Amino acid sequence: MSQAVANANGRPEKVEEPTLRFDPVNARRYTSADYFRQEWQRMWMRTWQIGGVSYQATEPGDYLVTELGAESILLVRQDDGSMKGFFNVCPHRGTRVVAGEEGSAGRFTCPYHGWQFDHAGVVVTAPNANDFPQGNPCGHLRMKPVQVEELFGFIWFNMDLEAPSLTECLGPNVVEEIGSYRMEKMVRVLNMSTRADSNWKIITDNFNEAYHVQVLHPELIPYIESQAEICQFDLLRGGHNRGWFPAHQPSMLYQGEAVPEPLASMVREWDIDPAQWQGKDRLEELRLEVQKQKRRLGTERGFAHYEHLKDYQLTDFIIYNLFPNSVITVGPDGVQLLRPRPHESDPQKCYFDHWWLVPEIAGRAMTPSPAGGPDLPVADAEHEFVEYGTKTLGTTTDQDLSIAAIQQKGLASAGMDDFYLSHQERRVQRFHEVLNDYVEGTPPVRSV
Amino acid sequence: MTERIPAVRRKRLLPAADVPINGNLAVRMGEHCLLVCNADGRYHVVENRCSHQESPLEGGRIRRGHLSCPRHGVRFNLSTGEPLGALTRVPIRTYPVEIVDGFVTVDISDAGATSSGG
Repeated sequence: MSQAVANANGRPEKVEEPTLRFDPVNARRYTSADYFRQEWQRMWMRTWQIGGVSYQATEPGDYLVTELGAESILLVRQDDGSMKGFFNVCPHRGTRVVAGEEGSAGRFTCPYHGWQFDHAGVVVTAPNANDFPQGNPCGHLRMKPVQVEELFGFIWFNMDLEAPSLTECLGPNVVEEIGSYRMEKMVRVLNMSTRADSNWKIITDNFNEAYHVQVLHPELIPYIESQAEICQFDLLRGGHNRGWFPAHQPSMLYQGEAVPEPLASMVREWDIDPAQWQGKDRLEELRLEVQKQKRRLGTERGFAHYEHLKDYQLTDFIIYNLFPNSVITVGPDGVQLLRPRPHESDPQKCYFDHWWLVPEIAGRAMTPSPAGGPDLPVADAEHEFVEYGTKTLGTTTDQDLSIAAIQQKGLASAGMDDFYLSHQERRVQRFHEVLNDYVEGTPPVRSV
Repeated sequence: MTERIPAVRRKRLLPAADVPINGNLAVRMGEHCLLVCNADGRYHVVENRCSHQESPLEGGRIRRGHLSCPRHGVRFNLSTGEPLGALTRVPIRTYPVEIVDGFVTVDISDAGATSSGG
């Protein structure tokens, strides 16, 4: 299905893209309560979601609780090491069984009438258990199960028990490429959430195109390329997509001759003298020199994970937009999850999560923060909820969220017609076509 | 939290080494039901009673300085006693701790009580 267009070490393999239908994309899907309900039933209830990090639950009975829309999902480590997941709902009268975000329990106890559940979600004791005309609930009533899989060091769930497996939905390219970063060996050093005044898709759309970067994120110009002429965007089967952004070289928009900051500091760390790399032609070769130096010095400096990465992965950033909302941005020294989640009831609001995972490197107790501000300790971070505007979520994230609210307002206007999308925004187009497939009842079954 | 406790108010509980990393042990001292917690090497002493439904907190999992109630899962910040989640807003009492000669010692007097404790 796919054909290589360049040295496999130089960039991701170009794949044959699905044909676009050019379905109109209009504002209703961002504002309508009816659409919001349909989207929930037909798409959210049927797609794979990241529930947490596998190391949050290592021992039998360890659990974590994750929220999606109005649902709360309980994920539990089993005695045999596997994970199971349930709707966090007592089958007696609907109370949420577990309150905390994570913990460990021999049995789960509903705080209302004291029904107890085992790790498989089955009722094992209930006060006055023989008082039920329908029969004793013990041994047969249970918290309703969801599908659970572990991949990339994450615990994933799908509320649809009939949905194809996660690896089937993601396809072999995505599984292998993201897998090469060995995220299961990383530690989550940033775990922030906020509320945003926009529909979740406004944030997803934003990650599905790089057209805005030159305007909204000019601070990236010195060290990341985002111009479509050079970057590579791939529509993948199943509604996923990939964007490749060569980095450790200035963008073609950069006007200077000298190596700009922060790139100069970044290359000095790899024993490269920026003064030797002046001028347009030399600047274009700098990225390859960084790859060479990382290959030469990486292992002895403790960057053991480099041995699993291809040359381009040593310098470049690749964004994987996994349908519908899991945005995984990989770089040579860490991985971000940038994820909008739907609001429980309001189509014009959503939540946004920002995780940053890094490999542990001998001798390095601190790591630069993608959220700006001081370096972060290389240690498992506590979940922090931040009211937007009271604290930075990261420079680029703040910039993106500043647009989300005003775009939401504009989309609710009678003055807005269908989107008018460029070719380089085709990942946005494709995303909405796959969303249409779900909402209309014909979701994609297989991936490539 | 480990701090200086005036010697006159210091009560010796148990050897610090008896409490494994991210483990906890219940100790009774007069009317005080205490839980000695080791959060990644930092010692805390809190009341061994959940502010939600008064279950003992002993055996609760400790991660990142928070203790989870083994019964319904309320998480408490061991430094402040403050709960997370929807079940309760009432903090648990925390006690000043000092490690002296390898022993966990606490101040259980009212003078040592946290203002939020109760």
